Amino acid sequence: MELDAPVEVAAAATTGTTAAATEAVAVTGSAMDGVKKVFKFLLALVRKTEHPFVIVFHIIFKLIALLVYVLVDIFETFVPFSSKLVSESNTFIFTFIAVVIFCATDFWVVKNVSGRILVGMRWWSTLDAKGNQIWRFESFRAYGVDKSMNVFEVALFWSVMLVTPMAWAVLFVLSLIRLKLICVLCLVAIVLGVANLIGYVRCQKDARGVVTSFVKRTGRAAGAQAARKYIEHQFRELNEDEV
Amino acid sequence: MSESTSSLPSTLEEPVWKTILTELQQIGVKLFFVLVPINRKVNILAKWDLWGPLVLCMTFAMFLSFNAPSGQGDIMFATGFFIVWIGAVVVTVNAIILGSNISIFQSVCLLGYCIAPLVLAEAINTLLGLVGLDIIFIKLVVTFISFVWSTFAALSFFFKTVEMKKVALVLYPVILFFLAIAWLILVC
Repeated sequence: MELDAPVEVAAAATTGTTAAATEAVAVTGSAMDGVKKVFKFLLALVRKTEHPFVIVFHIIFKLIALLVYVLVDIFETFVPFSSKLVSESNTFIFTFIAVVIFCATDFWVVKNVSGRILVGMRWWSTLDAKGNQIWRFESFRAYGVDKSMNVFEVALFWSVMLVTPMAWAVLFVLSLIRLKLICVLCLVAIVLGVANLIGYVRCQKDARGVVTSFVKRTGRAAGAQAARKYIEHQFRELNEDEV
Repeated sequence: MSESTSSLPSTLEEPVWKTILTELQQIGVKLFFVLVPINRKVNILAKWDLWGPLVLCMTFAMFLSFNAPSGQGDIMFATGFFIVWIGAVVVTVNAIILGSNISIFQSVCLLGYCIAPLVLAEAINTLLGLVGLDIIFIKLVVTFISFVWSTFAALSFFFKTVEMKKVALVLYPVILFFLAIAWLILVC
């Protein structure tokens, strides 16, 4: 990115329009500053994360499933004669298999890996001696282990978990009003996403049970305040870097 | 991960590769137990999973759509997929209402794994069709053998979960479930 500016200056100088060149440098310079600032902010966020790879895997399968669904839909709706290129039942089967596999993989990743590492929680079930199902909702907090989780990672985990089923719900409605069979696929995705969400909400509840009084006192406002403080802190650090 | 907390009575700190390995091992063990329905000393359903059923069910649906007349592949695929899942859930709910002490996920897992012989029969039938041996008698025999195989594998699990008085009421829908799938395989 930084190499672009000198090259532009050289190009402008050879044409002889010095005034325009300086202006161009100024404009690109300020634009570059903006880009740099955003880039630095993002870099600072990435530095704040402790498990960038886990975050990538937490997001990527959800994103791929949604992208496959949306892109195929766009292809079918807006590309003229698309059904002549690929038969409609073939695209349906392709979309169905791809989305179900990516959603299932994502379900597994969230249930077994990213939830454990990003928020320190896990839900699973086992059988007792009589063969009854026993649900286990584990968390470090419920075990009384004082393990502070990364605030940014926790916020990211929960927001991604919430937004994904909502996105599928919107896609479901959009497909349903066009009377497309593929809308059943959105239901599968919603069921998987919501099942995982419920599991983790139960974990969170069980964890809260241990520190109920504290949570009750501070309430939800604490979360918002923490997030605001965190962002302010980020910007302050950024400005200090500039100086 | 710090060493100090590794003595937790939980699975919160196991390494990721171990999680994956356990999962794969579980799938293999369950498939073996279903395909070779003998030696039932261990309760292999204590740790259920839905990976095996998912793959089997999609293979089943894919063969169905492959054999469907052109233009109906998508409907046959969706039908195959949802018959297996919704059918398994309905059979399970029936068993639970009748007092069977099996959990919903366990039962769906079990029924999902038990369609393995039927998927095998479907593959054989499709192959026979491709070769040109599209004879209904051979198909019938192959499908019937796999139907008995699947049902036997599932029933031997279900049999122990209910009291003797209600056994027929629980087992009948299980048989019906496999019969529906076998019928789909035969006519498509």
